[in-house]
Amino acid sequence: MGQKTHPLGFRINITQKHRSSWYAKMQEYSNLLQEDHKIRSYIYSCLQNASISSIYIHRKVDQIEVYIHTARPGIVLGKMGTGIENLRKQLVRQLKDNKQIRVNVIEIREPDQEASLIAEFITQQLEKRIAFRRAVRQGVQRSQKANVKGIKVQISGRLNGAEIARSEWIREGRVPLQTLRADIDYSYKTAQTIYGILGVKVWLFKGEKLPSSTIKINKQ
Amino acid sequence: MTISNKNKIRIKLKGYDHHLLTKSCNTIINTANRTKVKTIGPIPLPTKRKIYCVLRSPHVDKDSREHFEIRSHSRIIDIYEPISQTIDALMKLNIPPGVDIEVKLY
Repeated sequence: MGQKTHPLGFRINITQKHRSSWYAKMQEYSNLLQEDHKIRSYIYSCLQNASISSIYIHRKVDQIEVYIHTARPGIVLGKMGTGIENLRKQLVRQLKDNKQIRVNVIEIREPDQEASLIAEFITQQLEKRIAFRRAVRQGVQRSQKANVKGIKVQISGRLNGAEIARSEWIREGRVPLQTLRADIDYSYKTAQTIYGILGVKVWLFKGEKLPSSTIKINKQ
Repeated sequence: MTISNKNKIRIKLKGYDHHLLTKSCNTIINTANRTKVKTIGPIPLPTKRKIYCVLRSPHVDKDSREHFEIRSHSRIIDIYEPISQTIDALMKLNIPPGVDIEVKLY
């Protein structure tokens, strides 16, 4: 047997969009990449309770557009919409560059169809010292209520505080990792417990994306 | 084939995604054609590939690696004898992120 590739990276340009989409010459590429990393880590650290699933960064000439996909836009926006303005100013200060940053908040209608949000839910339960099997089963039930075609959850580490670490997984439905056109959402989060770190991996199968007719016309 | 020696604009488009690039080329050519100036259609330049070869494992295992590549596609559009309307229309165009545009006046 071998190791499994990262399902998101495997499907880029097929069923996954790039989370950062910009073009840069090789001389500036590393600087822009660092900026992207700073933006993401700052937003995740600031808005830990806001159920952020993904952050998309688009760059046009000297303008940065940040799209935050979240299940709780109210927390991100803050009272009377001041949250976004503050976030924008803090980001400009972080980057130390005078670039225009625009922050857009996009609401996720079905938060239980996002792998990162389910993984976050499970990690929060584990940090509250709930038995891991119950936490995982709650996560799986949530996603099944949201009509997901398949879900697989794997937890590794000192389960229930055992001395010997092990890894357990539960699967419901089908999760075809070998199918490229399968729309698979994946996330890995860690739970810090008093016994150490538990790693939670969640795979969600949302259906197959069949190639649309427009792409066939282009090829001809 | 007479090549006019008068001024022309050379637009160079670069991107990582060739679908996006062709779409952007088509929007530029359509806006230029609306103002009835002569355009020379998207000329594809060779695609540049940067290949990065990385070790798969975090420790040891020198023989097992993985290749990643970045493909840079580029196109050239020439617009001959542009009028001010063309330049205005091109400046107002909304181009998707992910496409880098360089404009040179000759």
